[in-house]
Amino acid sequence: MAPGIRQRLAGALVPCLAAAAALFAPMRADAQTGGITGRVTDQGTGTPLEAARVILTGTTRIGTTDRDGRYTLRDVAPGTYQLRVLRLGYRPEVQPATVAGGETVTLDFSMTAAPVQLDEIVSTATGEQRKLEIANAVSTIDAAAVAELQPITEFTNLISGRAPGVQVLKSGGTTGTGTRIRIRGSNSVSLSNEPLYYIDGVRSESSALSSTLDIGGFGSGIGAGPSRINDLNPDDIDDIEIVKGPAAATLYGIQASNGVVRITTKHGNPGPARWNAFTEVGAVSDRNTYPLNYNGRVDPAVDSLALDGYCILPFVLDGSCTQSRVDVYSPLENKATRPLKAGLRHQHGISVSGGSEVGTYYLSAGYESEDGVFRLPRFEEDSIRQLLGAVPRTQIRPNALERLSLRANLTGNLARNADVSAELGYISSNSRFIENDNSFLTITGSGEASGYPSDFNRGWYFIPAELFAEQATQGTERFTGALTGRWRPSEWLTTRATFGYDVVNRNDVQFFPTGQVADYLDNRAGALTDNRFQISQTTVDLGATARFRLSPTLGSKTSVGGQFFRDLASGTFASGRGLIAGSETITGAANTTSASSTVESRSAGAYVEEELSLKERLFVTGALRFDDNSAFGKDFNATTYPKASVSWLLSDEPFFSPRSFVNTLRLRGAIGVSGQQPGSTDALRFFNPTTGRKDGSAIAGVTAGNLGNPNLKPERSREFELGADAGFFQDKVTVELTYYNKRTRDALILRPVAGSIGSSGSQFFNLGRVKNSGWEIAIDTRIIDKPSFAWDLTVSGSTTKNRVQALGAGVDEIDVGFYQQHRVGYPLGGFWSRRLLGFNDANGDGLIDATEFTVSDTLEFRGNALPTKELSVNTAVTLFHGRVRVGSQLDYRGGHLVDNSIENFRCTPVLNCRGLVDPTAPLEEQAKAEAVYNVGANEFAFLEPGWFIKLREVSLTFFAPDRWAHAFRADRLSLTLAGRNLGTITDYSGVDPEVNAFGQDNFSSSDFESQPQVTYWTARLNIGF
Amino acid sequence: MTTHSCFRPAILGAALALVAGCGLLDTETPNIVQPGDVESPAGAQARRAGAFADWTFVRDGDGTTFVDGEILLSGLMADEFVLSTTPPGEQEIDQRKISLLNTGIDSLFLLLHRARAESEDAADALQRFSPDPAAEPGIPEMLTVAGYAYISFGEDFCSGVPFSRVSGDTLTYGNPETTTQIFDRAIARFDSALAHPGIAADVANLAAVGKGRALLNQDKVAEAAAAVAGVPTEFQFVTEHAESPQRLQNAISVYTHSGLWSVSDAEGGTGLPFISALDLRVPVDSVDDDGDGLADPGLDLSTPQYSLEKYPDPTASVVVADGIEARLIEAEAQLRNNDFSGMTATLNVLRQGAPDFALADLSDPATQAEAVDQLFGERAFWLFATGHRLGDMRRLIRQYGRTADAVFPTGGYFKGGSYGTDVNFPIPRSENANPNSNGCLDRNA
Repeated sequence: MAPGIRQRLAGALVPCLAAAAALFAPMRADAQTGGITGRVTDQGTGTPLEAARVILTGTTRIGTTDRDGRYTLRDVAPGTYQLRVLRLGYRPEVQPATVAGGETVTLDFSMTAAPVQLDEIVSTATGEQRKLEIANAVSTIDAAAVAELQPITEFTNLISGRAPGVQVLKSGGTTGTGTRIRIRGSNSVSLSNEPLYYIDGVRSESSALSSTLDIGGFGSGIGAGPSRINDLNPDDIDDIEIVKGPAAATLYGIQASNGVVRITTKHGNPGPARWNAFTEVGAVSDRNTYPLNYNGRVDPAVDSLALDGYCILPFVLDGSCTQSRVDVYSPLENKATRPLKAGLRHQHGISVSGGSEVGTYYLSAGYESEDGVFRLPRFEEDSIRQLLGAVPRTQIRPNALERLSLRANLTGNLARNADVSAELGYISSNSRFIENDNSFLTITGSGEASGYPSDFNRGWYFIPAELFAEQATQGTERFTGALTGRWRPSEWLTTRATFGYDVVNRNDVQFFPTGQVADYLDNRAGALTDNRFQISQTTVDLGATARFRLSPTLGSKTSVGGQFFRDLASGTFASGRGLIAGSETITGAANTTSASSTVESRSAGAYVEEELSLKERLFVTGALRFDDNSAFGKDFNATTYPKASVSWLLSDEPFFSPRSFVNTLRLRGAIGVSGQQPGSTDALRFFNPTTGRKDGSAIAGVTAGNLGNPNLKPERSREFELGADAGFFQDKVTVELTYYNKRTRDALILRPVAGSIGSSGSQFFNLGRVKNSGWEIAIDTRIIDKPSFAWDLTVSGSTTKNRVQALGAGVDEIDVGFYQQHRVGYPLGGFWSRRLLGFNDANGDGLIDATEFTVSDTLEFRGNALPTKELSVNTAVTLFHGRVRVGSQLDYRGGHLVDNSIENFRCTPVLNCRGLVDPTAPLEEQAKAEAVYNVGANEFAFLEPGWFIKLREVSLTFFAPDRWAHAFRADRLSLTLAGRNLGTITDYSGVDPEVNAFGQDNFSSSDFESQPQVTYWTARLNIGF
Repeated sequence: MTTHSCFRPAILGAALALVAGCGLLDTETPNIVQPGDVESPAGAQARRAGAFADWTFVRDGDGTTFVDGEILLSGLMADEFVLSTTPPGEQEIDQRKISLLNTGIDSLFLLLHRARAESEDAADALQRFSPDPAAEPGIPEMLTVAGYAYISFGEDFCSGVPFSRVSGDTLTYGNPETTTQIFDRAIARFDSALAHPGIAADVANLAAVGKGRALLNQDKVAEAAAAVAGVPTEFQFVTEHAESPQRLQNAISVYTHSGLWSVSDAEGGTGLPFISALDLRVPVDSVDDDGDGLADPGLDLSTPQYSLEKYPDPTASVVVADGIEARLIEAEAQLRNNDFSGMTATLNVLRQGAPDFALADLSDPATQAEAVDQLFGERAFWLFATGHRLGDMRRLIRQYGRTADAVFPTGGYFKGGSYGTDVNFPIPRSENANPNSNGCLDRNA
């Protein structure tokens, strides 16, 4: 696969980029009524500012500066205007302009760097708006800058630690593993809590777990599978806006209650072709320390060898054996056998952008390759080579990812008042996974739950050569296209229409080569699973906005729109078992099975929004949205979602003292409702086809499928948020503080059906109520601002309190995961287990026996499974007149517990944890081991504080002097050295508190045979022409 | 809001209704079978086939290892199998310390009820849609399947199992029933089946043995013997399996040949010597790759692994009932009449009738205790891994005055800790969704 992708990149793309660049060379537009032109520069450095937005206020005209900071607005009707210039990271500037017919006015702007500004333009469901007009906290991430300067290895890295209230929960360190994202906590008991994603205005496939590979976890397709949102190439993204809750997301309709992430890809700016290229090389390494395995030995002269290796302390105490010694070993910590070695990561990208007044283009190509940290130990590789003559690379490096991404974003001005844009993205990727998380075939489990080298398999459960012979791969081909037309029939009316299509063709293949894999079940006889899917999302979005000036001080903006969405997933499943040696096809399998699946969901909605603005400082907005969906029960029709908000720029009021150290103050409040739709067939009662055998023949019949519920309707989440945005010391420090309170009612509860009904095990009802509340804060400041030295600091943090308020009559609790429950009065998916109440070495023998500890009689609430507090500190220091930049991110999460299930499992039933074997183990460790040994692993859990502080990112960028760049015939040149996941502070006794053996499951969380997070080191060279 | 803008929501709402009405929101659901699709003669037969398949599935498990099945789970709790792998949920069954949250038991409870409800619903559907219900063999067959499902509940679960049903959109929750009441339900189904004119000969024998088995559980031994008197010794009714798909595989074979569970030998000191007896009715095999003279361990790396060659591959059929069981019931009636020699003679006839097993004749027991041991030993070996042993062990306590410690594996558990005191499966906590249920009425045998 690898050569294919590279060849496609080299052979086809670069000529295309060049041709397109030539096609869109600057063209001259004829001047008509009048025009405005000028240049925008940085006040401090005088450098031109590209991508600044130049707005002719009172009209719908917006221009953008080119790479030289120049802009031109043509065909401007004669008159007097205010020209406002906005750019992310700079204080807005306004100048008056008087345009006469046949003349072009020149207006230059010099902008001052400043943190977050209320004049920023953000995208909303109704179109683009100033942040000032929106009464909600919307986080904006300058993805383009982050990707260039920070160690970003996947899309979700862009978000992590950069938006308050947004938790990025990566499931593990295996390359390609996915991520859970929670915005303001979890709303839904039984439906997804992942946000909606829009790419360039098109709803996109973003399954948190997109796989049917049976590679561990708990059930097929659960575990270290990928998240579709990580398909995106971070270097193609311009900015990311995060709309956090129903109050802000009302107009996005059904499915928006978990928040919306809007992704805008890069576009070209008018000007000559500008080429950017980068190459990045790095390493991925596992610097974690794995637990040692303890084996209690007996003296064969004294005891039977039956307990040799298993002479645990309880046996010692009851006289069953006498320990002669304790062997301590882990093949994961033995340098010779450790199957973990730094993997190579490299990525390369090239883009060209430019255009003219007629149109712009942005074309890019990127290639990324990463070998995960797993590597066949050298001596095992040598053994296989001697035996078979060659070792497949897939066995030497069983975990890898390769991705090609292409993008073409084009805009064209069809007329003075009409333009069209097309955003086209193509991604081809191949990932190779190993098993993780609750499987007999995991490398971590094989090392953590095993014995001593002399006993069995050199200390492994299954040896790496057998485990790495399995091939679990996922190939995807993805196309995302958006076509948007905008027409401004008059100065007060704008309309837009977007058609989008996002389609993923996915192929999950799991192959157990005959005779080469671990002797587990019948895998060694050869097996191949080949599942193929097509998953698509279609978006049709129509909208119009009318702006009126009702009086000199009162403005009105009315928006109407409608959307249609169609989600369709179809797939075929095929597998074969019993392959002849050398066969890699199902065709030759002794036994084959196949199945197919089609799931479709459609929804349609419409909205109307009215915004009144008073003196451009008070904004009052009200809106209604209507939705209908194919998944609603037959007895339920369309639903309505209202919203209202107020944004008041207090600091513009006459009574506000301009000399105050607070120079900007905005108060805001919003209330809104959004929803979450049931699954496409949840409302239906149905049977499933099934097969059996009787009288020597196959029989086909039906079995209970789903009980259904004809009254099923969407969940409704109502949220209000209150906030204040303040700028201090001439906006050198900005603070954004938000309180939110969100209540989900009619929450869809997948309620257990009493088994005695004899049907499906569960049924959806709109019975639940869930409450989320919390605080968010974002502080953005430039502490020191001197030409030779600047220090930027951004702090974002949040708290979340989540409570189940109702589950419906007769439902006391709903079990999830190992030790988690939804219970009224407690957080969703909270941990419940029996608790170690105390221990006392009463007889002073240094050992805790079964009578020397106490455990609660019943399950008790132990704590949250997801973090309830998070704080991130991003800082950047710029030295030597901007030549050197040092950036870092510290990431704290806390207020939750982690289920150290692997240690629990090692104590019982594996019997190799230190607390159960080593007489020198701390008494508390012995007490916990004795507790699980005696009480049982189903009710006694190793729950530990999960807080951690991670040094998530460190980067050092050197911006080369121009003459260095010119030596390469380039305009600019920079080199960034960066690291990711460089250190952890935690009380957690396991390997890493930031893992989940349940992958991206809605609530279930555990550390069980999971691959911990890994460290990245990268060096990236950026060059611009 | 102006008058004009008041109209906008109404217009939008109307537009939306139009969109929905035009079928824009209609979707295809090819994966599922809607209830109306099975309201026909063919649909009734599809329900019959599905119920039979689900009954096979819940008894024998499947090859995916996600569903263990009644035979494996009851044998694990009894002395037929030991766990040679590591999942804690399965260990607590082997160890007789079963949590109400045990997922294996929860799944068994649900799937047994599903097979029970589906078979009764199928019988009802066949009655409604068959052209000639009186001649429809599916009706007594489904009633018989339902009877066996009730036997499974009575033999495996504690007293207090409720039986609920769904009719249209209405769920009707059942009340807890005692073990005796559960066997009454089984007998009623068998009687209905036997009274049906369309019953096939093999199903009639199946129902007769089932009725005898249920009566035996009610300690009505003489009636049980009478019920099975007409069943020929050579009769056998089996559930069938296939290599593919995995759902149709015989899980007992898969588990014991994959190092997951092993045949046990004198488990907990009180268990029967299923391996060391070298009895060909329980043929076992093991591997000794390391040449130490001992069976290599299962997947837990410590428990000697013995595969059950009674089911040599995943396609092996499993006996539900046969003529041997009928004779064993008759032998138990002789035991109850203190006709020990008659009982032994009956048992020896069976042994002589199986020359491939090379079984020597048994001697007459000297005491009733020996006679009980002899009979239940013969039942254990003849009926090994067919889902009978747990019920028999409970009967030894309930009907023959043995203590649980004398019957079930007890003392120190071979993987550490000690055996618990459970003698049956609890009603899982998920049944709390039934407002009439509050778990087991008691946990007695």
